[in-house]
Amino acid sequence: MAPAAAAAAPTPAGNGTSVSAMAVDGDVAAAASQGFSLDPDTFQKIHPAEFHRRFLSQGVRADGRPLQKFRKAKISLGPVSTANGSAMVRLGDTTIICGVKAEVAEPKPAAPRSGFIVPNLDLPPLCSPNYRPGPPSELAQTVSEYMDQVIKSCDLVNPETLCIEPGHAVWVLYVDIVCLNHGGNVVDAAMIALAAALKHTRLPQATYYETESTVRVTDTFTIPLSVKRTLVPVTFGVFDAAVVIADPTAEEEAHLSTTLTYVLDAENGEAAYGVLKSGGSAVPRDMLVACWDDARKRAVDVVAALAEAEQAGNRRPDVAAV
Amino acid sequence: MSDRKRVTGPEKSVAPLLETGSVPAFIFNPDRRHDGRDVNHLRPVFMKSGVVRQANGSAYLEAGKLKVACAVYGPRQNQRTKISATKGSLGCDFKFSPFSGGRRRSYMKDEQEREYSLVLEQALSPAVRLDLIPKSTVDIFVQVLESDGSAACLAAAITCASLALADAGIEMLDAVAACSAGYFESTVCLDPTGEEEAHEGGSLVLSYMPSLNEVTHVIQSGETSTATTVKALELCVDACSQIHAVMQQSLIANV
Amino acid sequence: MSARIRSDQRKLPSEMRPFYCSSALLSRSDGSVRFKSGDSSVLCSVFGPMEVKIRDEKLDKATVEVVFKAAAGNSTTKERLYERVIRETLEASILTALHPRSAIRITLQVLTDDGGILSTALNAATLALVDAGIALRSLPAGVTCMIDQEGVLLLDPTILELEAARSTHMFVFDNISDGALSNISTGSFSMDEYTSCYDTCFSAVAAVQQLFRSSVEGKVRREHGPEADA
Repeated sequence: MAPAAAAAAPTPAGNGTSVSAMAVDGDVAAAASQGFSLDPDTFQKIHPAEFHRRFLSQGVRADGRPLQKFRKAKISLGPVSTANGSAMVRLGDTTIICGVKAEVAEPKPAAPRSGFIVPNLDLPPLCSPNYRPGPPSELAQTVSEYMDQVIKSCDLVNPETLCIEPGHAVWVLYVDIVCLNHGGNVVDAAMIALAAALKHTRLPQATYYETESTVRVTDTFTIPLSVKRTLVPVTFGVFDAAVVIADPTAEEEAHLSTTLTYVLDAENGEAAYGVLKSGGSAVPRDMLVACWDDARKRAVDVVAALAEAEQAGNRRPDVAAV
Repeated sequence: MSDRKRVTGPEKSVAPLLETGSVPAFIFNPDRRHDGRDVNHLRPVFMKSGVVRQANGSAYLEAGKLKVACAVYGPRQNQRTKISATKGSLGCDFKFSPFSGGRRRSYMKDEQEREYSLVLEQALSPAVRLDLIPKSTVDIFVQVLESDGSAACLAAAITCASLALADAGIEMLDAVAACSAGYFESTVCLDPTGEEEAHEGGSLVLSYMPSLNEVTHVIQSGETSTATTVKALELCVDACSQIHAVMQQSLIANV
Repeated sequence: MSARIRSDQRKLPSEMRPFYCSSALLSRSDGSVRFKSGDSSVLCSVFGPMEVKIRDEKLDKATVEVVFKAAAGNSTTKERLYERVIRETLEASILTALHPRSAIRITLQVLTDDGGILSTALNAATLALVDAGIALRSLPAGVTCMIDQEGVLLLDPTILELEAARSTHMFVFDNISDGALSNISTGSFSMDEYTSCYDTCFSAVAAVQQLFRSSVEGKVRREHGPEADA
């Protein structure tokens, strides 16, 4: 009998390696030896975890990437002219667009010179069949909250630079991140978009008129927002508690035993602004350190992509305040 | 009312006002529109289908500064209470992104978005062969990334949605093309931008199936004479045929 | 090391606050525990296995639901993050396959918050699960630490100390796995600082697990008489 090949894997795109007849085991082997075989798409639908396991045992992933390879981040700045700052990030299929709108509010009495940054991630039903119209999903809420905590604790933007008139008026930057296509690893794409959009944000010159208690702006002169740091998020997934894969896709995410997200500093890869590992299988100390080292290399690539985007975007016209 | 399911900022914030005199007053001149178009010219439109891989069908439309994305999921199980055994249903959802307009939009749906969702459904259902998909539903989600004229936005959404439906392989009688017009005294101006819209006396949005020469939906607001309305309808019908041609090209390019 | 006194009179930076727990406080719950760490106190009540909503039903395992209520004010996204971390941590430890198509609901109510509330809540939840008799694979225990502006590592900080933190770290370890189950770190820190936080929390968690052990032993003795072996 011909050697059993239960799932002839599709040729992965963009990598050159072709994974054909794979080692089979278990009862699938028994079925296979009787001449029963499944095409890859069907196999992925009925045994999704096993489908990915087969690839990983050969050192590749279902989309052809080696285990530690990240998808290239394609960033474009300023796609939305109605926003004070905007960025679009594409990470493989995952597409995220981030817009920053600046409004004016009264500061808190305890911090009369401090402005606000309000990040929010929206996963609309457009981006994936898993989301329905209605209140935000748990993933959206928890990622928004984590981004808020990281921004506040790492002092990304000095809140005092957002002051218009101490005690009366400060800027509130609403950073709204909308996912257009959920192809996995929304956290990374969202934070890269947030970092890029904030760097791209320009605020109009504002004056506070005490007599009318209003703030008026001129759209002729805009000042770039002073962002002190560049955050670079790097996410890894762990499969079966042992195999670490970088930048999981949506198909892989459903079967991971845990995910690990680092938020590193772009200038100085030594410094980090956050680590998030929410439950799941345990990750040993060595793995945490090794992943951090891999994350550092990825941070360099993301920074290069951001710089490239800034170069390309230097020709765009100034953004109006209204 | 604070939204407890999102990160909130201060309770109340407002968009800043412009300095008096910082923006020159807008004077509408039908012979010389701000972007150099004629009154009966549309903005150059760019369409692409198959942009959201997770969805069954999707489309992206850009017209000048306007940017709209649409995704179609279906036919899938109808989770609503009213399930018809003879025909399927169309679920339409229209949403402006918070950063899409001059003023920041909240995440909660406001009346305009609910109205536009209804219009989407009314404009598209005559064209979709719902009788072929009984007990199922086709969900259409439109997300406006940047808005430049709300009537133009609505028209773009209808066009984009019907392109996405075609991309999803949902059987339709014809692709629905939609376009908008604004009334300025007795002049009818096609595809008004946001700036122009602020000075118009009324607007019209027409959804049309060119191959069948049938109008699926028309909505007009404002006060106008019958003659002007008829003129606007004719202009829009011609414009819709042009849009339809672009839609066909874009679908063929993606095959 | 500098002999600084911490805000709550602790002498060492690597000293945890005194912690203790009391169980079986609520008569209606299947299990309930109040865990107190210094002045942070969380009450946890567990119901389960119980009936699950059809849309949340899982065919092969139990659905773990966590509700986290802050001491005051409405629930916000912060509580959602805590719920997610606690739920995902406990899902790995609870033997959910034993109770398919059921729900295990864990409700946490913060009584007083003096820093390190997430790790306190997690510890309360673990003990409450034991009190409820839900089968666990392991006992996850959490510890919080911080690094202040001078780079000194402080274990189990109070709210006052947290205000001057340069970075805050929460780690969860259990008694059988090699590695961290959960971790949330925010602020600005280097890899060396991170690994020293990991190591410090790892050794500190042993004390919490000792409390778990004596609590379980006490429960067994109470329920099955003094001759029962722990």
